[in-house]
Amino acid sequence: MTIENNGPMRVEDEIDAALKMLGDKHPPAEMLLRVHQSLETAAMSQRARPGRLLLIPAAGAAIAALVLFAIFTQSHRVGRDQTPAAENGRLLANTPSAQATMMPPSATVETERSVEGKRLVQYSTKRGGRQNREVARHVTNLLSYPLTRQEKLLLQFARNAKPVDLQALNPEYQAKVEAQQDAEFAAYLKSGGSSDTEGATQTQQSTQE
Amino acid sequence: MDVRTATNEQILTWTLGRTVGQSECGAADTLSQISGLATHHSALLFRVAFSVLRHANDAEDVVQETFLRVLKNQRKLASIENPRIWLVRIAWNLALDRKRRLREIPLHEEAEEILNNRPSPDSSAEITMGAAQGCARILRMIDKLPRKEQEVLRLSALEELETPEIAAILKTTESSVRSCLFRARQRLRERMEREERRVKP
Repeated sequence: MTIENNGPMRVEDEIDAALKMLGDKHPPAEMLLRVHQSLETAAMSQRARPGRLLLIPAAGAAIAALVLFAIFTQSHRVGRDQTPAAENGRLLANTPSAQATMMPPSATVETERSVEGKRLVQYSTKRGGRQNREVARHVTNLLSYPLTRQEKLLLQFARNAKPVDLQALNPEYQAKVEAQQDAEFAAYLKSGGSSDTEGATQTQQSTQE
Repeated sequence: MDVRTATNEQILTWTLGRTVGQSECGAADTLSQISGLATHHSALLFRVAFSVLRHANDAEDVVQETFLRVLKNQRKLASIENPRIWLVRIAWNLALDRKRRLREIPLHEEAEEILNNRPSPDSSAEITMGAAQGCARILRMIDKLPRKEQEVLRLSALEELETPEIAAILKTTESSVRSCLFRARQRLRERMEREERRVKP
């Protein structure tokens, strides 16, 4: 085959020539020797490691054990996480404000999200195993949503406001404070009113004299 | 060894020795079988790999890798009906894998590879280099054909492979191979003519 670029060669012949070049390629003389050598080496290394075949089932068993351990740990973690979460949810409404300031502000607020989270946690505690995990996953998803406008305002308030202002958020505490103030006022009226009356009578007596 | 009078230890030693001996003998048989396959088919496998990679060293690596794969999967060897087709298919797939990973060879390098293959003693060096570059250009055009067409075209370039064998390697029918080959050549011809018109208006 002679390929000549400047000759009047037809396109078909050029294609044939190019393809023939591919088909006529001869391997290097030493290739076969190298192949035999590599085969010998590979076969010897295979014989030198007879326990290698046992590694495959052993590795499989190890992976299976790891997966089982991971599932077991995960389910236990979900179970552990649910109890404080449910507890937190239950206590949210009744926690004193002083303690509430120690918690993340978003957790102290009764928002749609936390209400939904509590509902799901309560539901998950009633169910078992896989459903528990699914519900916990939903709760986690729910908690990863962005904050609502109300929550953002509360968060800002919690960061910037004084503890006294934050305490005012708790209606129970507020009621207690108001009750205390009322009692103090009543006591003041009682004590102050009687002293004033005594003072008034004393003044009247002195003018009569 | 008399099994009735032998102790357990003796039986165990005898059994283990027998098993090891058998396995070593079996391994040697397999190795010689694979070596025989290498002797018979390595040239064809080299050409198959070269038709894809167009680089002798890479093609040689593919041949070596092919037989190492066979050694790894030696259990399958007994169930293979046509080892030749099986080997070509392994080499073909390995070559395609390697081509995907390799960078594109520059045109002059490819032309040199062609020159190493077929030096034309009756031509001057300049013409031979030019011819080799022309050949490399055609092979690059083949690379740009649809995948099935270029596969059929490359395998059909190997004289050792008949149409039924090409069909078996590509897991298709003979008629499909023929029609694909016809389409490939037609498309390649059209492209070359278009290219020629573009270069010499």
